[in-house]
Amino acid sequence: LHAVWPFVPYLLRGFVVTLQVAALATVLMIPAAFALGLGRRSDRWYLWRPAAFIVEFFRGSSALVQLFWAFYALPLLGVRLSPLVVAVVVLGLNEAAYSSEAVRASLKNVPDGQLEAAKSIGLSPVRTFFIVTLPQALPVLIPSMGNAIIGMTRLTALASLVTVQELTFRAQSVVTTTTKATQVYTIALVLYLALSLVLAGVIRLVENWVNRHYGFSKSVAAAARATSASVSQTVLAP
Amino acid sequence: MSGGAWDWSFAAHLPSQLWPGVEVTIECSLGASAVAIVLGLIWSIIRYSRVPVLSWLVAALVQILRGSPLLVQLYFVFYVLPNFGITLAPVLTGIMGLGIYFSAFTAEVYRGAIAAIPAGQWEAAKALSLSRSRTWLRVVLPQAGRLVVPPIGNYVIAMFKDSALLSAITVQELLATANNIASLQYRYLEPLTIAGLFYLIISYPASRGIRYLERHMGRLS
Repeated sequence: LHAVWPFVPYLLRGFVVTLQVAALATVLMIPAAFALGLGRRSDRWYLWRPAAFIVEFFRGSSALVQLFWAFYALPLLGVRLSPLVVAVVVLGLNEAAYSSEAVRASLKNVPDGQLEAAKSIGLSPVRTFFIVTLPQALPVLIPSMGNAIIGMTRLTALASLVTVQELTFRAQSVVTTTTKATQVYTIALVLYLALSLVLAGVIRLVENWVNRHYGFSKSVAAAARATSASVSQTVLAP
Repeated sequence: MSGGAWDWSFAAHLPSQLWPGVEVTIECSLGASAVAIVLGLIWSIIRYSRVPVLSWLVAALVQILRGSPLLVQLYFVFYVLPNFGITLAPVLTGIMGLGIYFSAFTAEVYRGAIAAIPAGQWEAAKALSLSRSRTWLRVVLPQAGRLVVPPIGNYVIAMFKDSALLSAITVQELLATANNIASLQYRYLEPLTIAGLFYLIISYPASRGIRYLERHMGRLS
């Protein structure tokens, strides 16, 4: 471990970059997931068709291939982006395509009667979404969104392959200079693991807060968790 | 086509040049699927039977596998195992790495499916004084098997797509082949686009198939 000790600050700075990529990609992912999830539920063809196409496109091929394509091929078409932007946009949209299914499933959970009631008391569609649909969808949505955010932290390692100097990239370069693969990769694994455990804890807190705040009974909350668990199992493949 | 970024005459030869990569990709994803399907089952049975220390270890392992990036795990097995005297061909390392990573996810699927078996089935098996192994093999697993097929299928597709990461540990699969052609000819647009289309052409019909199975074999819930 002595040989790699001087490189720990270098690795930690890489970990900060990992956090940046994950945070920025998550900021892009959440609204994009809503846009795609709502788009696919729409009965207007010019909304659901493009949304369905984008979802199938990003889910259909490998995230790494998309990343390489945006990094190597897009500049040839005249679009030049920095590696960080490429990573954030591609990873954000990729994860959004997966979690849009969770958005869709959580919205399906809200009974139609609620929407009819909202219409009958004259709420606008936008207000209906924010004060009727969303609060009821949240208990189902939070756990699977949480899984998507944790999945995002794992996905950020791919950014190393398009020269973003995050944790995995720096671990690689430390290994090439010190040849201490075991120690360096163990440090990297521990950092990633700590991040996902901390995030899982935070998500648990948010989940509890949402369940308390929106006054769901225990049984409803349990049902919600069961639904989202099956959604994240079958839909949110990593 | 002159002037344009896309060169059709170059692109026309690519599918046949990329084909060996497609074969390696399919080989790796099927191999990894076999590893993930078997290991995941072992993990879930150990956790379910609550073997004292072992089940705790398996829980920790699953947590580690799920909590860290596949790429880092692949580097780990690729660069670290040789230090302990275990040297495997890149393809084997890739299959093991990919399969072990996904075994953590398939284990959850089995766990969900086993939990979905009504308690009455266990009690009935006990009442008939079936042995432990007979209860598992003849009562629980056949029923859980049906529920397991669609989600496992989804993970097989996920493994197919994530096998692209094996290019990082020098496996000559589809993405690596595309990259090689691209850097030799210094044309990235066509090889990467066609490689992406190959992934799409294979995984899209497969995922439609899984959705069909979901409707007919039932979903875990």
